[in-house]
Amino acid sequence: MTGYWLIAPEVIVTLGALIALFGNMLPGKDRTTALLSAALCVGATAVAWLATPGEAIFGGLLTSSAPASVMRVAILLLTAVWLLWLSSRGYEGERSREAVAMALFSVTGALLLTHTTELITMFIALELATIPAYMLMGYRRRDIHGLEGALKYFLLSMLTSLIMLYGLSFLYGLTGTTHFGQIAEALPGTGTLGLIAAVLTMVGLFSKLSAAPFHFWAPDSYAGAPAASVAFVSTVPKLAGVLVLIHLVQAFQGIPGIELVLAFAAAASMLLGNLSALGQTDTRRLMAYSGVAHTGYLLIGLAGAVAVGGGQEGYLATTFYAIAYSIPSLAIMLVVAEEGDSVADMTGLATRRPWVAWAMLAWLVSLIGIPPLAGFFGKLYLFETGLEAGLAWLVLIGVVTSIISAAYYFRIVRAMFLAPAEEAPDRPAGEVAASRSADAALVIALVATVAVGVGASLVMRALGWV
Amino acid sequence: MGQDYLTLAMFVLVGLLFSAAAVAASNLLSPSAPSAAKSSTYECGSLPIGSPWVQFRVGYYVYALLFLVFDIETVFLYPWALAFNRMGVSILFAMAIFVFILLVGLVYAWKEGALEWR
Repeated sequence: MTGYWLIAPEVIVTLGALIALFGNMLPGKDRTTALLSAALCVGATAVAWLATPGEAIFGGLLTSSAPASVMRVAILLLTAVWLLWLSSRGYEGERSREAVAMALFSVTGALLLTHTTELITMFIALELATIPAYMLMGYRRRDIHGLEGALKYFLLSMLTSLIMLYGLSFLYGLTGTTHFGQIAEALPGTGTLGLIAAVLTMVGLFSKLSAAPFHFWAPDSYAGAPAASVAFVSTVPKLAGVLVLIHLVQAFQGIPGIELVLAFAAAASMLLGNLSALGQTDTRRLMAYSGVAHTGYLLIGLAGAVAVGGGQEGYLATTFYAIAYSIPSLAIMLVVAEEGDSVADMTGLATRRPWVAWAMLAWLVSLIGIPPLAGFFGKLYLFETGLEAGLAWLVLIGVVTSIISAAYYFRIVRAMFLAPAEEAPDRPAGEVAASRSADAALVIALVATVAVGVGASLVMRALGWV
Repeated sequence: MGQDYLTLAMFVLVGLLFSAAAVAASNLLSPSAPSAAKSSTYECGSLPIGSPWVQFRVGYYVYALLFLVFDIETVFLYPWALAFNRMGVSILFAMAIFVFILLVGLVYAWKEGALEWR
């Protein structure tokens, strides 16, 4: 497929979003809106998959690549799963069609972001992917905590966006171009100023991926937001953010000192994320810190790739891990949205809904990194890259903090399987209503977690691993 | 290269010193005889009424947002109109898509009652 077909998925998703705004005119209203949007996402997946790598349109503003195609498929399928879940559960007390529209606008930005190879397009796509996310985080407009979290997210995200813009202006001033490829050629001769420009630019993405030390917004804003919003915001835009960070790092890899910056951020994220997660009692807060930690693991791959002078393996391992992390993370937050926000709310899940409890176990185990699930192979590839690049200290931190992470993930497992019933908080006796589409969404996420693990080598080959 | 940075540093230094000196000199030299009328808030000669911390109706913000959307549309329309002869018919469709997306937004706001003053 060539030419303007490259942006066909973006067009489909945008149309879906515009339709969703008028969801009350469809028969079946919000439920139909979400289902129709999920179907459009699946349709867009097929178009995204057919893109030929190396195609450039709009004078090189957007360029397709094999990792981008895989990422686009992952973004669209995860969104479809989320929409399928949303079609039956919705937002308690709020109508859900605006959430569908916001999510689809965010997906449009994320899809553009995967193909962008130019600074200004990148910035606009990044903002398009995050601005709807602020609205999703504050979706319960009468909930003061949600609004506080959304405001914190908005302000910090805007601040780091400005820092990033400042960095972009430096990059343009130093190199005279906004295209990643030409920046990569011109940057190595610019010395310290080049490093400063690169770091300022990466700050914006570090904050959006909640990498330490720019992660402070995540726990507060996740803990105030509806868990269903967290499920989307903490996964789908992040996938695209990881890929564009990879593209930027590829442009910056000639600058001396850049691998130290990445390694520092990786170490700080793994340590701060995992240690802070230990004491959390709110699952959303726990998963926020866990997200910080997983961004740390991702950065090992980038630091390793830069350390060996641009190793393709490191970049592909990072891409793979982003996908391997998002699937379980999305699914866990969906279950949190069904069961309740605190870890104690999970008490007795194994007797109430046995198969959900076992699925949760699989997702948590995947996040810890135990074979044969997706997370294990992701971490394996990342640590391999780190070792080959001579970053043994970083890999050691990764392994030790992975073991630490088991402690807090198993607190959820204990609550589900082992905790005595009296630990359960008092709550209205209402059981979670049975719903076939919500259950189907969880089953798809479970199958995907296993399939990406078992078929890890297939995914890596699709990414372009040789 | 080093010479350039030195020039820049001198520029910053002289700029800071000059503004500090100007404020200090004005404080030292000027006579000071405040009165109630002189120290009140300056509002182009009219008498200030009430506190500046007034709460605006949230309805204004909705109007401001809708206005901003079409303000920006105009910003895009001017260069578009200038480039139209050179770029051909294809940009007619591009602008049509852009305006269509904005119009959908307006219709949505209309449908949700944002254009009614409540």
